[in-house]
Amino acid sequence: MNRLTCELHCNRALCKISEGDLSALTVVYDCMARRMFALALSILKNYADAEDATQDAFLKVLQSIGTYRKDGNAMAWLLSITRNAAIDLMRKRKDSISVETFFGDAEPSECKDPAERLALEEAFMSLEQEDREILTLKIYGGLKFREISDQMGLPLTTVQKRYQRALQKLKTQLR
Amino acid sequence: MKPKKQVKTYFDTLKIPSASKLLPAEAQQAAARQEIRPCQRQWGRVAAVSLCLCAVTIGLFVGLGRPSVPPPVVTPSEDVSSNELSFLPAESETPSAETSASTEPPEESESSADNPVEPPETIKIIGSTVPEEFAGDMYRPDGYHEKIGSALAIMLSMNAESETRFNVLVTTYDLIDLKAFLLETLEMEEAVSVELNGSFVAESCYVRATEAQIQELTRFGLRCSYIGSGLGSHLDVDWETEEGKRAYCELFGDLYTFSKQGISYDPDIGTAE
Repeated sequence: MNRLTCELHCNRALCKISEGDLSALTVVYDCMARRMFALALSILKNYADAEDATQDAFLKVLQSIGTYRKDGNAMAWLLSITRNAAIDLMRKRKDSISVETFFGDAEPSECKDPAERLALEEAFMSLEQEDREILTLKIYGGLKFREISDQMGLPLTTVQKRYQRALQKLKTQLR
Repeated sequence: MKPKKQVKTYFDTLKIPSASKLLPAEAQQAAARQEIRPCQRQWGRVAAVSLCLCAVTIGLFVGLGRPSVPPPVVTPSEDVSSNELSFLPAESETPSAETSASTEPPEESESSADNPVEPPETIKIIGSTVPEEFAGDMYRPDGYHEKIGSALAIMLSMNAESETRFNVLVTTYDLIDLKAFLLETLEMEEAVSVELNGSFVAESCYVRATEAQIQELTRFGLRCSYIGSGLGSHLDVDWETEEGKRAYCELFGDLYTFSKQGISYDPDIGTAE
């Protein structure tokens, strides 16, 4: 589903939710769950935690639907909620245990080449957390640099430079 | 495969938790309630069609039950049933189509962003390979970044429209994939690689950029030069008027002008004035 279609569906669904039609959250799931989960996973580096964070994010969508503007940017709003949920969870986890778990315990993917997948995971995980976020928001979330810069509170040029540098690093490591 | 594509493929193929795991219970219940209603409607419709069929069949056997008359090829019941039934698949298909479309991994709409318009060919620069003097430097307006060529600065200073696009040659001596940088990082719509005398310049691209985009390019240390159309007359050049300045910039650009072979690079001193 392309960004425009997804944006349109999500915006309509969020408007319906704000009018009390909670079933519209399934539309949000259909359009955005994968993107939201990918973002949570890139922040938390752990499948189970990413699942918890995405679950929290969907709950927060219902709780804070009153703050959504009808002419707002639905995708950016949803990813912003997911990001906050993931960061909250990361803080909680840091308070309790400090064991680093990687994608290794993730659900098996449908990727054909496991070696390639592993190499990518390792390379991706070696990036700094913010770089992973920027890559995910840009490549998978489909956000514009300006939106990412707003969401992360970083200057636009910093986001652009970090994105370029992270891609370059990934490219070097995957060679 | 490019890392960008690899990351995308990775997330596309990753198994994500089901809706029953991620969505709050109240949303799932609301969705379940909504699913029951169309189902009830469909069963109602099927019942109505069945009754209709029965009535017509009985009518055929009882009312019109004459052995000598051959049975009609197309009965009214068939018309009714076909009309009625034609709604059923449509109704039942719509939600499943939506579901299948939405549960698929998001397709790359961004594929257009990932693989932006490929240039038809590389543009060649023909002419001098060493930096030349440029008369326009003397008339360069103040306040423009040093990486902006004088002709481009002159053109920008006379431009009131923010949406106007200028023919710009972007150059860098850093070892980066300039084209990818312009298309992906700076999100420019199009960029064409530029070749100098048969070999690639450190990195050079032709773009059509707005003033805001040009300012952004220079923030990244990229050199921006104006590519003149090469058209016009030397007689029109007049540094006192906007039209005269424009004529100069089109004739010479920042020493780069479009030509039949691609882009020409020529000194202007001694020819403009």
